[in-house]
Amino acid sequence: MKKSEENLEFINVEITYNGKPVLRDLSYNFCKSAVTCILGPSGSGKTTLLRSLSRLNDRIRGFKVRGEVWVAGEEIYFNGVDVYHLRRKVGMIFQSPCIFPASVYENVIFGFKYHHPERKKEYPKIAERYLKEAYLWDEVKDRLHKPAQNLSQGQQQRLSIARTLAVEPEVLLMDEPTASLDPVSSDAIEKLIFSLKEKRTILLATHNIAQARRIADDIIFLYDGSIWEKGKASDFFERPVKEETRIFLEGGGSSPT
Amino acid sequence: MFSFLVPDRRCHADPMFWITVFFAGLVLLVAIIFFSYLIFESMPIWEQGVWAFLTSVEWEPAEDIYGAGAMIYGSFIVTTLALLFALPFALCGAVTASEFLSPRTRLVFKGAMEIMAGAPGVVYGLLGAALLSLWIKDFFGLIDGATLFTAGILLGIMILPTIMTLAEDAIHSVPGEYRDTALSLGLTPLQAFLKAVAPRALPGVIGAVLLGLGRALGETIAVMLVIGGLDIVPSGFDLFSPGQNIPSKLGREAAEAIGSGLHWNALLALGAVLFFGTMLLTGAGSWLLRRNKV
Repeated sequence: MKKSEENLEFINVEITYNGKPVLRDLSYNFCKSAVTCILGPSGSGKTTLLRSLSRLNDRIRGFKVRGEVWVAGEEIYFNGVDVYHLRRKVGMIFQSPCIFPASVYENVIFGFKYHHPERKKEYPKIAERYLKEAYLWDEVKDRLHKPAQNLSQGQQQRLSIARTLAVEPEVLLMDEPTASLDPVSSDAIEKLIFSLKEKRTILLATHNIAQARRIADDIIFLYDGSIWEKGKASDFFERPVKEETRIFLEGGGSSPT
Repeated sequence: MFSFLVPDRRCHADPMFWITVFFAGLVLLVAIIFFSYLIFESMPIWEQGVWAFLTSVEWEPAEDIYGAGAMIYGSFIVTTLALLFALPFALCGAVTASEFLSPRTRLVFKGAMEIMAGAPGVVYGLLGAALLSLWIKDFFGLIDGATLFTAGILLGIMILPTIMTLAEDAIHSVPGEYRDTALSLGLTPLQAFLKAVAPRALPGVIGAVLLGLGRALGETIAVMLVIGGLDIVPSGFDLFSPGQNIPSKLGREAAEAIGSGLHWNALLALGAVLFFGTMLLTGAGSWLLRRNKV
């Protein structure tokens, strides 16, 4: 079976860790160029869902994926799939920004440099382009060659987004990217996500309901390892179908905000 | 007067508190006495000229002439050889264990390394004298297998597990996010290690190497059994000549020299040099290791 180039889909996926199911009965076709929020309390499998899309759990023993996971027209758990190629197409942003002990400039071009050692002349341009795209350029243009650890947490998170964008992914997986940030920085990241979705498919895991309301086009509500409810964001928030969803929404999720 | 202690007065009423403080103080006192004794007792030698003692290669107890040159040279050569020999194995082993072994295999491997690191020096010495020096003698066609080279290799084998397991700790303590981030950007696990993990682990790895070197510098009995025991600086950096390092010299002559005037002072001066060297290495090593953990 061949799928279209832009397809991002789970078909009957079950993910187990040492035989215990983490996610089951997972079937979902993600909307292209939209923000899909994966909502759910802690431990509901949000991170596992995201990581399974770029096969980041491959090295964890006892971790098994059954069913079909399709990314960009390829079934990614099929033997012979080039994982490294896949990960260039599927970028991941983690909860707390992970900055390498090097300059801002070196951090932005980290991935690009690795994949394109021959395009050395373009590095400065690439750095500028993606720092601009991450709305960080104005803040760091005068200290590109200073250690990136001196940036604020919010700036570091935008820097890691710029670094991922520079590898030119079609899909962006974001695992609670604002969880460790202050409200102002969170706001900046949300604006950034808004501008990024034009060209990329974005999956955002969060337990922050207010954030999901602000930026989600579609919602998946994960509860206890399976999709409890899904749909357009407006429908989801206005007319939640299930009792658990209602309780989650009224209780403000597990997040204090 | 006890202003350096915990300011909490309730604590001071408890006799248990004073007992702990007493024993802690005792340890500190012993350390101070130990160091002062080493310096004081070697004073007659230092008064004759520090530089002369450190560089002269003549050591004639019968004529009361003492120079540490040969021993310092021997210590330097043997430690350097040990480092050159151990480093590639230790680092590759550490990287493999931390990055490419399954958690269970890693623990088995680490356990084996820690047992090796804890094995007494004399056991290494016996194996070195029985096997290594014979192999080296046959392989290089020497008259005698007890050489600086033999001692260096044996020490290298001895410190290998120490360096490997400490370096592994340093590498393994780099947070998983660094690996995940590099992997998510499309790097292979090996490249992720080299580009993202290694720079972070470097201070800790250097610390591990320095601690290993500290051990190599102070090891006595294993070296005594295979170094040959000649107080010379061989011409032309000949590694296949017998030699002497500071600990083996001390081990050989301490018993006969105790309380015998200048000879004893000279041995203590050697001890002070060695103490200073290992103190620098282990001090720098632990500092780097600690800094890495933060």
